[in-house]
Amino acid sequence: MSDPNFETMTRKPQSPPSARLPRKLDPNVDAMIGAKLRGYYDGLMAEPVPDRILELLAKLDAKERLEPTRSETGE
Amino acid sequence: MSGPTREFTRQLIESAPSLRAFAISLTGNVERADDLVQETLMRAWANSTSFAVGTNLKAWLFTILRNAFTSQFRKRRREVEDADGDYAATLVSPAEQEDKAALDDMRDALGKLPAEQREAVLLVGASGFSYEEAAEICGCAIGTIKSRVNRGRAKLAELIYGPDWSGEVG
Repeated sequence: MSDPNFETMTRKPQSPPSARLPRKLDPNVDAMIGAKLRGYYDGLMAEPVPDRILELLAKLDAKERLEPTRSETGE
Repeated sequence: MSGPTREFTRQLIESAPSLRAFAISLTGNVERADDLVQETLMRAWANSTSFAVGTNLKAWLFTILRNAFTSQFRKRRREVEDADGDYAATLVSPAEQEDKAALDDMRDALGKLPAEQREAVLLVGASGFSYEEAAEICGCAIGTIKSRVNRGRAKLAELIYGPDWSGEVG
């Protein structure tokens, strides 16, 4: 496993994607952080999308119906 | 010029919750986040022809949102000395969470990360992107993303559990 030096931001040849988590952070702590982060994020994902965004999406969808694409009209 | 397909618009609709979660986590401000999401959706719709069908729409949308945020952030930083200063103050908490205090910890800690570490941690650790995808979204090398994720997570551990928990942070 090649070791990225975490201090540098130089563009060395990219290490393989398998070189994963920091050695410096205890794996158990890292797992706790990961779980906490996902818990936080899942809470946000579960929030209802506010009306103004739903209205925008509905408008875009309606616009699409009025101005169908070429591929859909077969032109 | 042809407009987006129905399928494209349908995918925009589907992507709204995940775009929003990313935007809220990035900005720490629900109003700003919703502005960003709106801008992202409009830009995506208007530029749908530049999206290569068959490639990753989610990554494309996140790139648009991230770039919009970054340019606003730079602009704000010129205007206000500390662009992160309002992060925690205005953030709305997720509704009815069982472990609200714990989630508040994470929210506050994210707000204290440098923006580039925050986005890297969120893309890889929460939004489900690979390092490679995250590097493309942020326009940097994979090694840079890994470094930011590692440092960001170590910093989160330090902020949440205290310096003794985080190991030797560079």
